[in-house]
Amino acid sequence: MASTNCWRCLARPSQRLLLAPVSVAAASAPTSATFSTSAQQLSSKASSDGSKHIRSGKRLVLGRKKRNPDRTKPPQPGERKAFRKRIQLSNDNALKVPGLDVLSSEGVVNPESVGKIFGLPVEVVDQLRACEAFKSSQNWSLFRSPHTLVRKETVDLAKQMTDAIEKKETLRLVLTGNRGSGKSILGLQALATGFLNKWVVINIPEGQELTTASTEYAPTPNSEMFSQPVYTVKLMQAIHQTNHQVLSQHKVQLDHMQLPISVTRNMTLAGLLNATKEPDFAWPVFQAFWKELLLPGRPPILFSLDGLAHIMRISEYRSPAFELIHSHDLSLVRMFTDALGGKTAFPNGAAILGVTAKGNAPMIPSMEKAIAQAAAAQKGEEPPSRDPFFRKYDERVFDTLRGVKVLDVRGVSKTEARALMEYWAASGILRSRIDERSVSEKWTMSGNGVVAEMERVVLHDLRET
Amino acid sequence: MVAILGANFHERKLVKKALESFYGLGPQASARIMAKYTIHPQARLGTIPAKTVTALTAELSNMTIENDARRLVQENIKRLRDMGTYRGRRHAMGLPVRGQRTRTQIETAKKLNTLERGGSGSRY
Amino acid sequence: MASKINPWRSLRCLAVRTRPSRAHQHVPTVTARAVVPLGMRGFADTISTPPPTNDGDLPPSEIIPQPYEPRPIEPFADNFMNEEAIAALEQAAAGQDALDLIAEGLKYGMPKPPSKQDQLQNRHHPVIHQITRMLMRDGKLSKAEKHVSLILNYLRTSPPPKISPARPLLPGAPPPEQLPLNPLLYLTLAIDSVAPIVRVRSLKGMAGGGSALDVPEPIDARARRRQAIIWILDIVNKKRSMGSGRKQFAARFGQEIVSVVEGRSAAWDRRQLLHKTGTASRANLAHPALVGFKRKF
Repeated sequence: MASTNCWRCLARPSQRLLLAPVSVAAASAPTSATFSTSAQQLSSKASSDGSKHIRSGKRLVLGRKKRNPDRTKPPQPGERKAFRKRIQLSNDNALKVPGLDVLSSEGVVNPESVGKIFGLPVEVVDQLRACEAFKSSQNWSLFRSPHTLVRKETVDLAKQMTDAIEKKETLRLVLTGNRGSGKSILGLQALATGFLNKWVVINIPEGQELTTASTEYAPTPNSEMFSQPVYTVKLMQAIHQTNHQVLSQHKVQLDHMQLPISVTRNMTLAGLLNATKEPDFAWPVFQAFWKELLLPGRPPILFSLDGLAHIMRISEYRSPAFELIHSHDLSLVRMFTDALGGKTAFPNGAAILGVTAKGNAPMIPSMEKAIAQAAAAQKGEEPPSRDPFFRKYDERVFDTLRGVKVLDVRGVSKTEARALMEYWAASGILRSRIDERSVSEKWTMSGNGVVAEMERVVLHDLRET
Repeated sequence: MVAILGANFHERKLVKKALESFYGLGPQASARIMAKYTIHPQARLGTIPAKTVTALTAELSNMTIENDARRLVQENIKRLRDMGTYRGRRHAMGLPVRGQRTRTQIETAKKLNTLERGGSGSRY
Repeated sequence: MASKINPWRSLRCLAVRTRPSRAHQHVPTVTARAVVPLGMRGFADTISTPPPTNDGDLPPSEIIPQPYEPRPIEPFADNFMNEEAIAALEQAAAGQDALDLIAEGLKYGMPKPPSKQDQLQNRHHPVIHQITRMLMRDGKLSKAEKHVSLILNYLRTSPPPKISPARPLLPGAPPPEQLPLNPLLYLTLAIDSVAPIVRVRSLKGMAGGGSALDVPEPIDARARRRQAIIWILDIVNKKRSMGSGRKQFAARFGQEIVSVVEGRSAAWDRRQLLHKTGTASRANLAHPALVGFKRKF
């Protein structure tokens, strides 16, 4: 029998005796390779119980740096996205702030509530959450329960909306302002006003979801427009969830013969919204719902969209002819732009709100110029003229934004800043004395009260204390 | 599993990637096909309706892809070879065809330049 | 071929002129400059240049020298700054705080002036400063700062830790219920608690026969914290990310900080191992090679 060990081992018969006897498995190794060390090692690897080499010699081992495979369970599909999108609205560690009023429909238009912190009512919080008004980049998760600061612009906006709706007019308004100045929060407060006043609130939380070609689209028959069925279903569900109380008091009045689902006269508007979850039927049903809402005697409408710049450009969708589709040819976007541009008549009064974003927004020269012109017209000044050497102005954007009101959101005043900082201190998040001097210092540090900068300066103050 | 032109794909597979797995169908063609059937670029196979899937199969069956495309390329190379051109010879030798240097960096040419370009018929 | 010693090549450059090509005109300007009053300097933006007293046509000999007129002495303007400074000096001489007087006109008093050693870069808490620099990748400091503030936010929102008696924290630590609202203390406590006390240096070839000699040595607070952060970061980087977006790193780091405080982290084992090595190698301090080594230097 040929030995399964190499020549080096044979040189030491004394040690050889100490080792365990050669196993049967090792003995049945191919005999032709007795002189090859590596083959021996490979075969002995299979029979680990057999004799071991005392000195195996040096071998080049490649890939030693290979990391151990991760034993933990990989995240489920959708789990990582859920983490990213999670909205946390309470923090049990933060202290409860007693003595703060709850926001009401009267309080939000009262000039005396400027510079005060208000809590949001629980049902309004649920509604706001359902229509995705809270964003994960906002610091709601630091505090015990959602509270907002009513600032001058809030009362101004709420007053404009309620006045217009009382007179059955349409308020068309664009919120602009610097980055972090609180435009989206102001939009949220407007939505809260709508919920408190029992208006029908329709909110499109991110304009870019509609135009970055990330949701289904389909051509609408007999038109050049494209509907977004899956998004429409989602929007209908959100509207149903948030406005159920208002919509269930109104019944369908028109005949909807052309609809793919049967709609009867004793169906409520909420029932109409909830009638289908089929993406193919979503757009006609939503259109029917919109027609019903525009009849006289219906509740007023608040239609709001965040990230206005994204719907003011050519979308990333392509038509069957492989041409890029303008955002205004997407029917849901067209519905909003028609409302904002004043083409839709609202007999019951409405507020159409476009909220611009500065953090994630493309540069749209047409929109900037149109807003500047609208702002100048609002002040009664000479509107700034277009750049004669720029070719790519978009007439449709100018049509949409003609005659809108512009609300420029700036930093908060010092009294508002003080209220905010006192709330932060009372919640236990800010650990320092709040006096006129410190408020003034932080207000100045944050570019005259830009709220996001104030948060950075105050809440993330990592100074040695 | 979703079947397009006899090939099975997972439902989570991007439509774009599934289309581009066919030989002779690249980003341009897949974008055009998807625009024709109004499928957005991030759509997955599970989300598109069944009739669109059959339409895609019908669309692909009329295109010069897979073995037709391979045969086209191989015929072109064969023609060059039969004429006895330099390019044909380089293809046969598995060397760069368009006058590149051959001292270094010809691995891709060694891999790809053959008379049977595009491999055999199997997709996987 | 031209000769190498051709004189014309250099001579051609010379211009021989018998007459000046232009009449000299700078003499009148010299006299004009002389007229400028003594106190006025000819700055480039001086507007009040006196008009030239004579035309260029006039020959220079016809200028009439003006008689000297002494200018009246201008009184100094009231200099409040000066007075304030003098008053402050007087106050300082009287043994009072000189800054009090200057602060009079300010709404919120004088800000505390930075001391000589203060640097803008050192404005944060030392632990925060150190963590930020250690989290930084590719020199992206502001991104690292963002991460640190998100880590602190994570600690603010996570439930209070349950401290295990097996892994005691630093003595004098506040009760765990108070930690989340003071995230800086939370972070500092975790890092300082898990930080090792010694460093074990292995001196190459000192033990004789080519083997290394392990010697424990005490380290300062900054180096201790550095070791602790390295351990924690090692664990965090190996941990699988269960989320995405900008908060996922902060969540992983924050979870590890919480587990350090709760005594579950693997950083504790590494600390224990290091301390064990340090204790075992304590005897090496009396090693003859080391004693000699120390004496030599």
